[in-house]
Amino acid sequence: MEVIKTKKTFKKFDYKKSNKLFERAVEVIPNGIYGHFSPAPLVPVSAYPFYIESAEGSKITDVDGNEFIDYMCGYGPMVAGYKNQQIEKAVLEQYKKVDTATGAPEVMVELAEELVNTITIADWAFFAKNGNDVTSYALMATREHTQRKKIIRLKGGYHGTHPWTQSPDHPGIMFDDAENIIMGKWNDIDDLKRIIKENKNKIAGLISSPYHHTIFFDNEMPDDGYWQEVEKICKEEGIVLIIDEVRTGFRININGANETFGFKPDLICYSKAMANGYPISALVGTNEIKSSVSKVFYTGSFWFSAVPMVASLETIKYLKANNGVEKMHQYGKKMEDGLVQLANKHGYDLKVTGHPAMPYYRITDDPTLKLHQRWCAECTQRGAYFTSHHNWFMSTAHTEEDLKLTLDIADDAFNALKL
Amino acid sequence: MSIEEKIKAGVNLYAVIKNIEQLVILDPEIKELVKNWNISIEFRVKNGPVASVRFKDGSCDVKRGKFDKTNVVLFFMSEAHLNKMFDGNANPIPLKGFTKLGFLDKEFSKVTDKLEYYLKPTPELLEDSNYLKINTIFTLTTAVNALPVIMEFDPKAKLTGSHLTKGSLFINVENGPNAFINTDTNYIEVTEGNSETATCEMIIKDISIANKFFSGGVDIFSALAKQDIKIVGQTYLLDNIGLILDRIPIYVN
Repeated sequence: MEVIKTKKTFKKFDYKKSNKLFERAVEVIPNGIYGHFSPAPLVPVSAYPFYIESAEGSKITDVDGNEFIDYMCGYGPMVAGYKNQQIEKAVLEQYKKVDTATGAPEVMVELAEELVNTITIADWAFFAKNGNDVTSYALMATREHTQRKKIIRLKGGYHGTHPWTQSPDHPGIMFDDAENIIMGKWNDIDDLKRIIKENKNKIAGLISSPYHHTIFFDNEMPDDGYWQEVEKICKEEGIVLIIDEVRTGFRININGANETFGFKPDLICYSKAMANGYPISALVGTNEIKSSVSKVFYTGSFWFSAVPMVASLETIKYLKANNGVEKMHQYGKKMEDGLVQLANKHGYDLKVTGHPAMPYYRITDDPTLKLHQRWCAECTQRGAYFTSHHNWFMSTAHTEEDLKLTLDIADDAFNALKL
Repeated sequence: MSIEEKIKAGVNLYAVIKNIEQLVILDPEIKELVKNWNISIEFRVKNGPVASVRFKDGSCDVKRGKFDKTNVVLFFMSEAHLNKMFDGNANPIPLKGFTKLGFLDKEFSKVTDKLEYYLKPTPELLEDSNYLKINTIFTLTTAVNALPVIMEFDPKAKLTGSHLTKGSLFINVENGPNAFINTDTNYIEVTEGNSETATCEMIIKDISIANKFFSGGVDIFSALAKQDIKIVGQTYLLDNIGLILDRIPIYVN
C-alpha cells in the first residue's frame, strides 16, 4: 500500500454540546453514562464525544455535528453499516406487523434454523437480549448437564457483568459469588491440567473467548494445538466447553470462530454483531446438551421481540451474500498495513495484535500507553474514532474512501505528537 | 484480634500520625512549639505494629519501626488498646521515658489535638482556604499511607493486591499536594516521584475538588468526564488502587 505523502491537516473537533448534556446527565443518571460507554476509560476524555446524534454506513455524527469514521462500531454490534438498507427494510416491515406480543413470532423459528444451518456445531438456538444473558444461561445449562458446580474462566477474559463474571474485590460482588469459579490462564495447558487434577469430577464447564482479547494489553491468539488439547481434555473429563463469541461472533468466521481455530465446543454464546445493532443474543449448542438446556427455566420480558430477530436473520443473510467476514478481514489488513507504515515513517513502532477484523493497536515506544493515548486522541479529534484501551471493530460498511481518510488523519495525528 | 482493629491500628500508626511531618511545617503554632524539641517517641503494640515519631531541629520524621535512640516508648496491649487511645478513651503503658510523661501530657498532646483538628473538618472550617489546603494534604497523606495496611488485612483489598502489576501512580493536585505510589503484585509503596517517572497519572483540577474527592464527596466517573480529574497512562493501575481506596472509609472515619 502506498502511504499518503501529501501533508493534509485537519481541524480538531470540540464537544461543547456533548459536555453540556453530560453535566445534565450526572444530575439524574449514576455516572452520567455508565458501563462500557462511560467516558472514564477514554484518555483524555476531552478528545471524545459522549453523545451521538445520527449514524449512517461507517460513520457516526455526534450532537456537536462532528462526523467520525467509527472504528468501535458501537463496541461491536454494527457489522454491516448503520442504516443498512437490506436490514432496515426487513426491520420496518416487521415493525408494521408486530414486535413484542402475546406469543412467539414466526421469525424465531426461521432465525433458529438459519443459525443451525450457519454455525457448524449448532443443533439448536436459544434467544435472549444481551451477551451476559446467554453466558449465564450457558453456565446454568452446563451445571444441570454435568450435575457439577465449578466453572473455569480465564484471567483477563470478559463474559459480562453478572456477579460470577466479576472479581469479588469489585463493588457489589461477594466472595460467595465466585465460590465456584476457578480462574485459569490463557494458552496454558499445564495450568488447566492442574486445575482439573485438583478438582477431579467437580468441574462443570470451561468458558473462554476463542482468542484472548483483553483490554489494555496486546491480544493473544491460541498457540498451535491449544484448542485441540483443551477440547480433548474437556471431552475426557466430561467438562462442557463454552465459547464466548459475544465480541468475535460473525467477524472472525461466519460458521463460528472455532472453525478458524480447528476445534468443536459444546456451546457458543453470541450477541453484538448478530443483528447489526438490534438487541438480541443467542446460545447455540449441540444435541448432547439440548435436553439439559430445556430443563433450565430462563426467560425475559422482551426475549421474544420479533424485530431484533428479523434484523438478525437479515444481518446473517447479508454477511453471507456479501462475503462480509472476508471483507472486514481485508479492510482490517489494509488498514493495519497502512497505519504501521505511517507509524514507521514517523519513527514509531505500532504493534497490531488480535484478528484484523477486530485489531488491538498499541504504540510500543512508550510502555506507559501515554503516547498511544495521545495518538488515538489526536485521530479521534480529527474524525477517526480510535480508542486506546480496547480492540477496534471493522464493518462491511468501511470503504476505500474511509481508509484513505483514516490514513490522512493518522498521518496528521502522528505529526501532532511531535508538537 | 479482629481485622477491623488491626487495620484501624495500622492506619493510625502508619497513616494518620504520618501527617505530623507536615503539621510542624504548615501550622505556625505547632512550628513554634516544636522548634526546640529533640525527642523520639515509639508506639509499640504487643505482637503488632510499631511506629516512631522523632522531633529534631524543628522538623519531624515519622517511620514504621523504631529509631536508633528512642526517648519514650509507649506500649499497648493490643491493637484495640491503641485504637482506644487514638479515640481518647485509653492511656498507653509507658515502658521508657517516665520523666517525659509530663511532656507527653501537656506538650505532645497539643500536637495531636491540632492533628485531630485538621483531620476532622466541618463545612465551616473548610470555608477557610488555609484549613482546606491542610485538610486536603492530610487526607491525601492518610489515604496513600493507608493503602498498604488495607491491602495487607482487608480480604477484598488483599485480592485486589494480587491483581496489581508493576507500575507507579502519581496523584497531583494542581497548585496543591501530590503523592507517588510504586506498585507490584501484592506490593504498594508510598515514595518520591513525579509525572515523568509515573506510568499512570491522576491530575486533580484544584484543592477544592481534591478535598471532595479524597473525602468521598466526588463521583470519580463523573469527575473524569467533567475533566475535574484527568487520568493518563496505565489507567488500569488506578482501577485497582481505586478499589483499595474505596475500602478505607470502612475502617476510618
